[in-house]
Amino acid sequence: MAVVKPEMKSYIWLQTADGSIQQVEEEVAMFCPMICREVLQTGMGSSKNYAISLPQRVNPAILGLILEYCQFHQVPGRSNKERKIFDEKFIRLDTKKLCELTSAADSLQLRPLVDLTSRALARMIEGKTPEEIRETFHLPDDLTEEEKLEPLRNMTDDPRIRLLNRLYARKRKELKEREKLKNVEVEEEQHVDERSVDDLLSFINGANEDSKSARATKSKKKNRRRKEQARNSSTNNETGNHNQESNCPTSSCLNGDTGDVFSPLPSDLQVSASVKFSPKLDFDDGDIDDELDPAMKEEIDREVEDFARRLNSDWPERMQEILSLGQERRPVPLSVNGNGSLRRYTGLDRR
Amino acid sequence: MNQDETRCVIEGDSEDRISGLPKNVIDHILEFIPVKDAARTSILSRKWRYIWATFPELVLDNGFRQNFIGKLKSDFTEAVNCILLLHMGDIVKFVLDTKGVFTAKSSYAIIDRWILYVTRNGVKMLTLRTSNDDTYTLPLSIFNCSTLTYLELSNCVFKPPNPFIGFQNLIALHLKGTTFVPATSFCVIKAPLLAKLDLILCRGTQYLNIVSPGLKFLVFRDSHSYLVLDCFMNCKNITLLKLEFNGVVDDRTNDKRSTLEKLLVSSPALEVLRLDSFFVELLSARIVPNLQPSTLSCLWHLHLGVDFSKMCHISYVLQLIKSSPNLRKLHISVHATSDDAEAILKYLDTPSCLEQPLDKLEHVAINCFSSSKAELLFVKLLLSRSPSLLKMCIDQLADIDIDIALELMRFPRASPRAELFYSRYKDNSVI
Repeated sequence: MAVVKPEMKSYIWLQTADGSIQQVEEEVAMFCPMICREVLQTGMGSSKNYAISLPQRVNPAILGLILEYCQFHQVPGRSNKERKIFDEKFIRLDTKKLCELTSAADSLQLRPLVDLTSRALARMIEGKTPEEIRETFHLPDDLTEEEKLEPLRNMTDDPRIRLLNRLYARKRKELKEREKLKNVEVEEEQHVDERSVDDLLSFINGANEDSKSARATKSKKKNRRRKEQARNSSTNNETGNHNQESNCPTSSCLNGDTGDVFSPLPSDLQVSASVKFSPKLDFDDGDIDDELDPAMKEEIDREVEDFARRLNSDWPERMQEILSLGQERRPVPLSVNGNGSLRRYTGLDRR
Repeated sequence: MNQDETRCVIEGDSEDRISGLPKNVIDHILEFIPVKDAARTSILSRKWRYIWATFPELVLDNGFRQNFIGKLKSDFTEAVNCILLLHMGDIVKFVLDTKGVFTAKSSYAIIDRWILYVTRNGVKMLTLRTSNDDTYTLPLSIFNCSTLTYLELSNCVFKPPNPFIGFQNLIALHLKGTTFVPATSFCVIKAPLLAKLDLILCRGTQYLNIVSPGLKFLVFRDSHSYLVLDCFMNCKNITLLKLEFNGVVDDRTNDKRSTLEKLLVSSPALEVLRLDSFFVELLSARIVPNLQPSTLSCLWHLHLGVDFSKMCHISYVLQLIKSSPNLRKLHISVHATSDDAEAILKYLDTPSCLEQPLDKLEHVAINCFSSSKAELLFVKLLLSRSPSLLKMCIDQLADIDIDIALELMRFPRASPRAELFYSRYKDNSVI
């Protein structure tokens, strides 16, 4: 039973997640595909009792904004220029509102508004330094320095390299414990920040880094990260795990992966040297190569060459190798390498 | 990490709104950010660490290439290698522009490797643009890739393998500057789902045999060799047909004409038709000049290249207009004209050449107007027969002539709302 107003317009009733019910002109509300579908398929929205429940992401304030947008754009006679001017004024919102608006528009499947807000958010990200972006969106700067320096985990890593890295990390730790007994000062965040960004950029732009030092730096960073994780898990267990799990909420494969990578490691480290180091250890950049056992260095070089060759070889061969490796080292590599190989495996199955 | 930050992370940062957006929304935002800036988002915070890495689009286009101007080719290849290696998961869209980067044939192996990697990772939309001077032969991995739905290639050599099963999922194929090299006598491409085919500036199109019964949009222009249209005979669903050809063909024009006629007849759903003067010439030189072409009831946009010095052209154009009852937009490109053809002028002056009114016609555009008598009579005819006309736009290459303008203004108009635009030629048409 439509409520007949003196102006002879028909209205749709909408209910937001907090329970409040609003009455909206039909042509304005029908501009949203989701509402349109609800009305046409289920017949809801015609009265207060049968109000259409909007998705959770749409709160009353944002609904107001969305309806303002719909109200303007559903009028057919407007020129493109007029619409553009309205759009540009419309998205002058603070970032919090903009994000809420994007989320709400997405849940209502209002594609033009999603495009508009996404572009606005993209403009805020493009061309800015990470510090500026963090400030704009209030992002926590919670990556450790070596995580920033190592841009992303290399998913095609040979698990044997990782194991070797762990072995010599253990050895190096023993050496360090024997030699050094000083506390380290926490490195300047600012300084590391800049370096990390430039490193990332140069990494992406393919700077001529010495390959060996790059490998060593990489493995050193991995060790540091593991150590950090070990520290985190021993001191602040919940946070550590929660950090990892909240990393990629939507991708279950990755979720499982990150969870797996970090949990077995502390146990691994504990097996060898008892984890009795002070939480802050000094890692001088230059010392790593010197302390490497030359034989082990050679082996690592060989392994990396092996990996490079494998990268260029035929796919079936590679699959065989990965599978055979995966069977050797069950718990860790399958999850680590498994993200690369397991995913590909399911990919092949799909095709 | 101090205590406050830790607490924020546990509870869900009340201020950090953007990281909480669903992945598809964040991916949508990343679509608008160039690769360099998008990669930098990986160091923003823990939640953002793998967002770019799992973003399924890699657009390494012109903008990306600009970063490497003045740098070595190895910098570019190194960067693309890094990006591909760091990527996790499927790559759904891959755009690569290597113009000016690779000049030696030996370095094509690098592009082959990238394409191999991408086709193994489930690529659906693949765009590859190489330089005009390059002679990059497409690797087998493209032909064996069954996940492709959109394929755009520029300046490549297209040589399919001998037992070529075709592109099973391909929906759109856009080929520019491509050279077709047949393995056997023809270049057979089986694409059962193909809906859109663009062939621009291609060579070797005479060998092309495309099996695509569901084809909807066909664009063929600026090519060096003629396109054999026989393979499109059983495409009943063609809604857009744009054929332009500047070259020279051998004889056998009768065959070509009958093929084209049959194509037009067998396309009842045709909505947009563009034929340049070559094809109009081909169609108008028919043996039986008064035969009416079949009714094109869905046709609403017609673009023809007309030679106003040829009677057969003009009569064919009028016939086409007459058999398109729902025509809304008419676009005429004046290919050539002459002031002397008395027969034409007489013909256009008689009202019987176009008797019935063109009820639906709303826009008319005439470009490369040369103010000849024949053209003016044509415009006059259209103005008097279009009761629904909204716009008549006339562009010419030379400067505007006031006398012509006055004459145009005086023509009686059937539509009270018709606006007449008479201007010097610009690149974008008014319609």
